Amino acid sequence: MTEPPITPATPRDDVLPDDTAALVRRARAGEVAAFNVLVMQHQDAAYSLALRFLGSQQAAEDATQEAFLRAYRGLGRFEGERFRPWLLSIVANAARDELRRQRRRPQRSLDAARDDPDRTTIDPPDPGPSPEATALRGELRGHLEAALRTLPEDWRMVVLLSDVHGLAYDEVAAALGIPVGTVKSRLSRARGRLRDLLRATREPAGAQDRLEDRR
Amino acid sequence: MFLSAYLDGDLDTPERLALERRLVDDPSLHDAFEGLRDVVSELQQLDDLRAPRAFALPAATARPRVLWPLELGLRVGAVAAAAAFVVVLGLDVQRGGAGGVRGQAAPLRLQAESASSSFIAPDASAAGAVAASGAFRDATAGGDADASAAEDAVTEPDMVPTSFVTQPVTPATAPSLPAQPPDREETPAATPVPSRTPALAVTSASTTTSALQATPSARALTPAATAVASSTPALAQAAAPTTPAAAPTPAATMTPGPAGAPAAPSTATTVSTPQPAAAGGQGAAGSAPALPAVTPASPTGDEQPATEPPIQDDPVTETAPVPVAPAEERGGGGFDSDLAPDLGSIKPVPAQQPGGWGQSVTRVGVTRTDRFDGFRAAEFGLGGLALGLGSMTGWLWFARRRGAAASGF
Repeated sequence: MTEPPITPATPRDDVLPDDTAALVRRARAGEVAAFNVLVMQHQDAAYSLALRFLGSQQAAEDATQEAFLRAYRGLGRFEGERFRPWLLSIVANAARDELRRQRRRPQRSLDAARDDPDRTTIDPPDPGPSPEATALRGELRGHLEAALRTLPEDWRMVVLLSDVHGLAYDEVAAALGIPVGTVKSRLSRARGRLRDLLRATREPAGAQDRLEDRR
Repeated sequence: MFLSAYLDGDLDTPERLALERRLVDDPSLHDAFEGLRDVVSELQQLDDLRAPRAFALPAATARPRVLWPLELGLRVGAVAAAAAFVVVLGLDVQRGGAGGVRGQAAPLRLQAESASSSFIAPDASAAGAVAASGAFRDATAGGDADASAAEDAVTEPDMVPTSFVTQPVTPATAPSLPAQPPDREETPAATPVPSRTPALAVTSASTTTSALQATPSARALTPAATAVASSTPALAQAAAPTTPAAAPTPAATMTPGPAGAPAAPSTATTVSTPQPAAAGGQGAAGSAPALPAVTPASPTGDEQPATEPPIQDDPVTETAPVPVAPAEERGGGGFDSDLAPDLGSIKPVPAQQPGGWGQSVTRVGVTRTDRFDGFRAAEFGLGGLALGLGSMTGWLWFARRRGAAASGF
């Protein structure tokens, strides 16, 4: 089944990309082009959050698209100064909704290999500078991504919003609808779990390195 | 948790200083802290993944939906109309409407002759009670067409005429008596009205041959009629000498009372009873105690002289509608069994077909009231409104879903 091509509205030339507040005002007035500028600015972050939380590219795309649609329809409720945390909170909720929807209707897609929980890496695109550096960084990131996926969902979302996307405690709490204390506790436990997981994966590698050094 | 908060700079100064002292003194704690800091550093260095496609919104899809207010209004209207419909329907059902069947008798439009003392079936239940007694058939088996018609009307509820009237009688021969309580047995002959014309109006002066007249003897009386006879010995005795062969003339059989007796008003259809001996009845009627007039139409049995027009000596008959109280008001709508034999004097009139809404139709056993009132109108209106609004809402929802699917959302 082929989906009809999406023809995004062309942003106007006079739009100032860095003027988020002005874009928000124009988007509120119904100018889709202004909102699409905001989309282009934040879609990578939104997609990254959805993909790292869901672990499925298709699900992440659906959640991201749904989040942008919700954001556009909910622009009237945006009263803050920071658009990015507000948008990421919508993405987080859309991703959680998508995860619940997947649990209600489990299905195996063509991305089954990607959705395989035994798979240790998400295999995201990485424009690394060199193949060696790319491999090392990809390995480290792969371990971290795999460790992230082993976290409970509540912990995982807190870590993604706080450590990966840099939201403050109160912003994370507002996005997830939980108290700040809960955010702190979940974040602390998640970090400790990740630390233990990364140490567990590094120990064999370190032992292998020490063995090779002796030879 | 303190280590994580320390990494985020969320500890106040005393806590931070205390933790720093412990980190220096405790190598294991320091090692844990180092590992935690590496994890956070690695997480913060994670780059955003490149989106596989643009998530920009198509202008058509992202356009503010102008139908939202309309759709919202339709939904609210549909729900409100449906709720109002349910409320109105409930109220209508509660009050016994909605075209339902009521056990309450509607007012009977009776055409009572002013001078006639006649019996009118109080309601259909009375006729049904008569039908239950075979004696009624016996009584009406004398070939009286009118009685047969009445019987047919009784035994076939659906075909029964809507009302009954008696044949007119001349007021000179059988002036009617005022209404009396229907429970004659409870007030047996205790209320003689000497001043009134003691005509035994059961035997109407007209050509109608009543069941009682056709009955050769008291044996033909139904149990109900027996009750009448037992409580009205004068009636039984007066009827006894009557033979079918000798066509009774009401005036001769049931002799009216004194000629100078004042005329009784005829506000209700009654079964007049012979008056005491002074009334000058025939045969044993002279010794018979007076029978109170039976008035099935009287709600309470109380006489209402104020509303009773005086009977005129003028033999001109006049027709006046006689309101009949509902069955409940008359004591549950039951049939006064002592009135059963008197049905023979009932003349069914051509059935009045229901003329549409707004007309009460009295049938045997039940009274169905078709009313085009406010409730009915509200039910139809609200039901149609709810249905229409709901359909429009569903259509809009379906159209929106199709539009969203076509645009890829």
